[in-house]
Amino acid sequence: MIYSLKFYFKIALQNLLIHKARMTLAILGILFAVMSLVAFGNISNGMKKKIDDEINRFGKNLIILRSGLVFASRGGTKQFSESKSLKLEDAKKIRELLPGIQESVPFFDITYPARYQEKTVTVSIVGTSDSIFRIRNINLLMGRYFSRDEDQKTEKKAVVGYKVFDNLFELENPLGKYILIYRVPTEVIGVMEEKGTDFAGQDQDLQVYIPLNTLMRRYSNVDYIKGIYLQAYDGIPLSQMKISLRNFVRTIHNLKDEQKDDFTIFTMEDVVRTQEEGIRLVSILTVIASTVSFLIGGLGIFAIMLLSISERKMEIGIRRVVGSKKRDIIFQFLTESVVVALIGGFCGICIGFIITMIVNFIGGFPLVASRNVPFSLVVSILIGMIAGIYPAFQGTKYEPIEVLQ
Amino acid sequence: MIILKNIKKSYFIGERELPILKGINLEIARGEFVILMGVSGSGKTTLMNIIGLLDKQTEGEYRFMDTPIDGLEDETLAMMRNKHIGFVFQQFFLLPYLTALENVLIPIVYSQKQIKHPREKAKQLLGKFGLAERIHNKPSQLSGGEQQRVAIARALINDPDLILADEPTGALDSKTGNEIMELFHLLNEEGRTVIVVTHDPKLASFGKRLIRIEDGTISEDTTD
Repeated sequence: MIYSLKFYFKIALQNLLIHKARMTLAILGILFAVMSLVAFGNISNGMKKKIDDEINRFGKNLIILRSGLVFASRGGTKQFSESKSLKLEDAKKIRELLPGIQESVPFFDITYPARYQEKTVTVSIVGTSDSIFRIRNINLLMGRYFSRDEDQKTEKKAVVGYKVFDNLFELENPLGKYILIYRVPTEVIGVMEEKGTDFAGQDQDLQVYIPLNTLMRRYSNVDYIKGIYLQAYDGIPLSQMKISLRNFVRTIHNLKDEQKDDFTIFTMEDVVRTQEEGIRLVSILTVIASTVSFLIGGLGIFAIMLLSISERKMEIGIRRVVGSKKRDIIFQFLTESVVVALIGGFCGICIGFIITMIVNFIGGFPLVASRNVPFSLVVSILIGMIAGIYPAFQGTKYEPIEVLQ
Repeated sequence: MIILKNIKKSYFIGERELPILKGINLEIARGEFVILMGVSGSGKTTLMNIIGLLDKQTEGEYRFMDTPIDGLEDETLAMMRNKHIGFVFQQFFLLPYLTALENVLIPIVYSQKQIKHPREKAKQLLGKFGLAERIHNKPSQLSGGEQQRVAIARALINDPDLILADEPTGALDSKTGNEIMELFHLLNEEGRTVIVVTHDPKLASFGKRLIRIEDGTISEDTTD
């Protein structure tokens, strides 16, 4: 059995080599189908991976509640109306009373110049609690985070973004140096790793994190906050969480039914959803296109196999004479049509990967091999079999004494 | 080995019955070298097809290797052909895209006999027939006589009990034809049963027994 399978494979390949042009036509349909499935699958996986990486870099299961009405998109956040109604206690109430929330981190941010000696750089000063570093996955290049104790004691400590460090200090060691914020000398205790621009268009490397209490009481003298970072527990759909959060905040703000929200809730997923919808649309088109290609490929193989079998009556006759059974003939020609389909599949995978490499290189996506690769091979085999069955049975109709006269 | 009793075979063209074999009685024993001679249309090819398990008689009884052939299924007949009979044809019927060696190996694919080292055996057979240098050549690169020797090697690969040759010299010049007939003679000397079907009277002298078919019946059966 193994011996004969090897033999049939060899015969199939030899026949392919004899009829190169014809076989090229026969495999083209399968090739295009597999190529588009593989290329699309790989590329969309890479895009999704890139989006996931962005979400993770931003913070996992993160919901942002911002005071006032804000529109967030990839281009940046736009403030439609301001509100001073969000208070520090709100953050505490949400954490303690709203199920599903494991962490609630209030913040107050403001754009302001930071100075060191003669140099000035406009930064986003973010007053917040020490938990921010954990839930937003902030890693340090050097130094340390500020502590809860330093927040309570309103100490003037700052953790600065990479560009802030780069612009103000260049080669100098920034740790222990004082920068001026609101003309108040603030000690630099840590420098963050480069993080790039977040999904809302804000350059995270131009941020300076200081304790929230320090900012509210000693620098800005305000009794409200600008927003809260909320982290949900794993496994809770953020879309559901957003609904219960909205109802909860409306309740604690005593908003009546006819009143508009005085806050905005958004997640990273909202921002990337439009992208994922785009991917989904393209995926439907790809499936349609490759289905059509597979059908055309199957018809091509069907026609070529019929032709091949009618040309090889003598071969069938002599095989039958020397002892081949009808099922051996069927098996032989099915093997041939499957080999044709598989060659199409392999070529399709190779070209699909080449396309993936090119697009990944241009788009900066990571390479994530798609399940479409094994899937399309299995479909190729099935197409080869289905297209080969009828021709193979035709082959058994030739009786040796008729075809060998 | 071969026992035919009152074998009749007819073809039907529309309503008309066309008798080809009209009652053949024949016994061929192991080790014989038979020339089955007849003109075109005499029924010799039909008789060969029946003996070779490629066709079925309309009437009569056929025992091959002590097995009654009547009513056996196609699959069984295919297995018996593979195991017991080596066929040689006028047109050689080698597969054009396979080498000489690969052509010889074709029956092995369907064989249930456990032949050890089939490739070695095929090479040995081709070597014996003077084709040692040609084993990797395609049929198109071989002369007619060489192609027929490859076909004979193919017939022998499974160690058959019977060699059945249909006009084996028909496509060859007389010198090459004689060489092929000498080869059959040699194989018969080695103990194999050989039946050569032909219309060519010049071949009569090669066999040990001559059976002449005329109009569907045996008209002559002489043994040297």
